[in-house]
Amino acid sequence: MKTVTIKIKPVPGTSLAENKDEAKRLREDKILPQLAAGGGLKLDFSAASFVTQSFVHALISEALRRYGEPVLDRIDFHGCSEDVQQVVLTVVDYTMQAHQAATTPLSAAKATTTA
Amino acid sequence: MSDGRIFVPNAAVVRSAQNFLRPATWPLGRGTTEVEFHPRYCHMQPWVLAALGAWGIEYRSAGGEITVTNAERAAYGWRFGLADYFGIPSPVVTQQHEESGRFVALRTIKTSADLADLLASIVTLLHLADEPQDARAVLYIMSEMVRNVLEHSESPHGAVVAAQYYPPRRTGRRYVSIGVADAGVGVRKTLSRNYSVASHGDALLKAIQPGVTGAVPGQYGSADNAGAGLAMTRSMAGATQGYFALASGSAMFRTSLAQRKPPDHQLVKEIGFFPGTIVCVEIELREDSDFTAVLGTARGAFGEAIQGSSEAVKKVRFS
Repeated sequence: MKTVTIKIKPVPGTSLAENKDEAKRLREDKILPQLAAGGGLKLDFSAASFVTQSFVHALISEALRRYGEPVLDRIDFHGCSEDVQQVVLTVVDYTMQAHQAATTPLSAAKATTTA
Repeated sequence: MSDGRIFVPNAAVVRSAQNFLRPATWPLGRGTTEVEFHPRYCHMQPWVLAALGAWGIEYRSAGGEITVTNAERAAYGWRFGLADYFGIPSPVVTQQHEESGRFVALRTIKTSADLADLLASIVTLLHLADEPQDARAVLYIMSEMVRNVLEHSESPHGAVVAAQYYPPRRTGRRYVSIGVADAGVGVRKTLSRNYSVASHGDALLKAIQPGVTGAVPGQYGSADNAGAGLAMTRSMAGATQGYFALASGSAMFRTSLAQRKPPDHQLVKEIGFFPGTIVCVEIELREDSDFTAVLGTARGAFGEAIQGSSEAVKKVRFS
């Protein structure tokens, strides 16, 4: 599996990555095409010591929605500070919960709830 | 004769926000509106200045004229550049940059580039270089709140922002207060595209729920919008024991700092109709501030609101 590295850049003069326009561009031009081709991704956060939830959402939530939990085997979150890790986990958490709710048939969800 | 009147009380602060917001009338369109400052002294937090600034631009662009009473009592506002937003000469002589001041003067943000410039200067303006943990919280919140305005408000004038560092001498609290306002379509109109919202108060309660966005229907929105920004910001302010307030249309929501917190619906109050949206966020600063812990607490509160946690987080690979 070929892996492509994407370097996340912070706002100049800060160590915060927050530019959603840039996240969207990376998602559309690099992340989704690479995953569609069956490849892997190394998202390199070493230059950004913290990120906003909106930025990470714009970057990865669509990939999680399209490919579900298995896509996490193909994504390496590299160089993440503890702050970046917290935000990545938050986004993965709520996106996968929403994905699960949307893809679980109502009868199965009911059975799980009452079990 | 005035078409509108806005009275700014001596303590226009979030703790007693209703004193300022309830009696105010914020007209748009041609006419004259009087802004009257308290005759003795006026302390205004950044959200008040941002609200006055955002309304001022919109009102004047539609042909309105602003008159000011007791201008000499509002030195703080003029120091923040409020006169430019009112279209009047500054009533008192102000220094553009004062070394001892720890504030971000009123600024209009219309683009990502404007926001980047703001974010790059905040740490210097608030003198937070030695407090990197607190600086992170301030930058994070400013980014999320301004992007909300740019994406949802539909205001041609963008967001108006201000911020101030408060030392502990007055209240014992040491904190940064952030104000972001716009004179756009407001929360109710944005959300009513996808949700049924019976009132402005209902819209605010919905907007602070995780996963609600005006961009698209459904939980956690679209590829671009999660509808989580306000919920996360509220949780972050709460994690530092700071206030979070959101006002739009005829309603205001403000968190409580009480030990036993009332339910959210009891925190919505009626105000005079504000044509747009105002956000106030306070970040309490501490010697042992820990942004990672604040994010963790916010994530925990967020998890409670969305009822649980996904097993998928165990599969996330960090290298």
